[in-house]
Amino acid sequence: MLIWLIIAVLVGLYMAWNIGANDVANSMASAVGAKAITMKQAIIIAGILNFLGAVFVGCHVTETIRKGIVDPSSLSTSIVIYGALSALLAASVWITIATWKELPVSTTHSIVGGLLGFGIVAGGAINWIKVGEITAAWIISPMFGCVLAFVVFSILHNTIFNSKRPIKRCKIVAPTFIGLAFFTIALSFLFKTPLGKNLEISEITAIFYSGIIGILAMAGGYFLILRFYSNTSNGIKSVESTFRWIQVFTSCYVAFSQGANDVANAIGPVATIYTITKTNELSSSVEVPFFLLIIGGLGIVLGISTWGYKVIDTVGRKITELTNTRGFTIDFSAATTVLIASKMGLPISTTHAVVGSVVGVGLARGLKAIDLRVIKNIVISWAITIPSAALMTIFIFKILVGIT
Amino acid sequence: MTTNPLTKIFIKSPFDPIVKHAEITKKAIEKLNVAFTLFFERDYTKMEELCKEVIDLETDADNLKAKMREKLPSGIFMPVSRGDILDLINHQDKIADQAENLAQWLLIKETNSIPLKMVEYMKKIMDINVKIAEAYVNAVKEFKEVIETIFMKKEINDVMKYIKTVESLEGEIDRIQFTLRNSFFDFKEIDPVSLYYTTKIIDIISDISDKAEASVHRIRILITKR
Repeated sequence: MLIWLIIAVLVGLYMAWNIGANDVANSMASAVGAKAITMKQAIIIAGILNFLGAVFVGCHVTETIRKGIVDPSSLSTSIVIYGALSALLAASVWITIATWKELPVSTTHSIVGGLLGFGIVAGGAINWIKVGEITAAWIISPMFGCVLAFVVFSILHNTIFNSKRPIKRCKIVAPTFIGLAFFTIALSFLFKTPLGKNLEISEITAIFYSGIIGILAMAGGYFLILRFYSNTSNGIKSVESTFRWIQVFTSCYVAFSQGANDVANAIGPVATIYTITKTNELSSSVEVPFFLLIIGGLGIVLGISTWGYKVIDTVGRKITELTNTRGFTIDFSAATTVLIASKMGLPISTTHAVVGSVVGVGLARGLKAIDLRVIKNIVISWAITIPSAALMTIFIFKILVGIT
Repeated sequence: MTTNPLTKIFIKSPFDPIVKHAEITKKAIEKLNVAFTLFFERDYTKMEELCKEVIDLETDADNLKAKMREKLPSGIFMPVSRGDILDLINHQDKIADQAENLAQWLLIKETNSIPLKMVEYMKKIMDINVKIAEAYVNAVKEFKEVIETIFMKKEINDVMKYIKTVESLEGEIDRIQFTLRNSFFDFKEIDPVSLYYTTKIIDIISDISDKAEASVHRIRILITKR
């Protein structure tokens, strides 16, 4: 049994590495591209915040991956171990192939596809309602990001850029968004989390505390901006430069949300195997062990530091035309989308949330030129990923059952 | 290296190259104006040099046009319609085309064929063309600003100001052309080939302004469509 756990941890680490290597650019590239932060700062911020998100909020989605998609209660323990391991292996192999073939696949879709394959081969233990929810989230989340980005950018445009006194407006609008972001983050920490339970915080008090934190952040942002303005010139340019340092913070927001949502892709199946090897039963109510989330977080950090920085650089160079207000809007909208999905325990693709937000800013006329053919590619690779990962899982599962 | 779709979704906008293209056109017209004066001074060696430079500039403009079109795939999404932008590029390129056309005709070096009475009018048209080119480049630059500031009223008004300048200068050329046309039959004694040469040159220099006017109309469509 232990050998399977060790293999699972290693493959899980590889998956986490992949997330760090390929997807972290989502959170950092706009800030690096807009020169709000340097590459070094980006790596440090991404590393720390992805880790924090993974460890403190990552459990919700991990639970879904662990037992939400495939209902293990009717299956034998060894079948579940082989199934979880096959799904994890298949997903990582598929991602490796896709990266090599330059298909923009998502780790989330791969692991969910893998689990579906497991459910099919194990005899239809699939929780179709959950699968339906997840599929809906895959469609809704980019749209939500798109609409949010459109609204946020339109607000910025109408309240700041279209006003006669942009700076005065900026001093009110910018801290409001900072406050909102802090409210969402605080809520994600306290609302229905192990941390919230430990601190004995009820749901209503969690909202209350988060509200206070949001207001404090708003006030803090307001004073920082006041201080900042004492030594800059007037006009749209200084609005942009205000948002330049707000972008540092929204990058953290994205990185945090990303860690929260994506760590499950790597650690969910490992958690399944761990629970079985430890308790030797399936329907245990044991929660995702903390140390597994830490392992996942570390894997992501490893991915960022060994490969992810190159991707951040590549993407960052591509988006130099992105101004700070645009970058801010994309980050804010994507992070909010991802964090909400994470809290609902829905594994979504952070990349798609970002792409949706980019399109939203584009629709608000905020971007000079975007290539919508990317959306077609994403849809295609999504449609390929699910059956491919599922079939590969079935294949690996048969082999594993065959040799043991 | 990465499959992250963010590397593909952001593409270079055509607005900077359009400004560059307009600047090339302006440069061509300025050189052409100098060549035009030299033509009447019969300083052909220097004129030849300038005409060739104009022809080269037109080639540059053509290449840039091709590049811009290549970078506007059908999946592109911009704050303005792709069709309108392609239309603007198309019209703007015709200004440089006519500049090249004139350079070719000047290279025939038949200054003597042109009736003296016509010369002053022709020079005047060409001088106005230089002013038009300048106003046109400014219109395009301001148009870029309109896009960047997401259709800010002030920027739209700036573009409109330059559009009106181009229009009124073009009107001036129209009036000169009208006078020239009325005196057409005063030159019955001139041989038809010379007269053809003369009218051809007049047609081309007034066409430069027509093309510039057509282009600013495209810009007007681009900025008022909202």
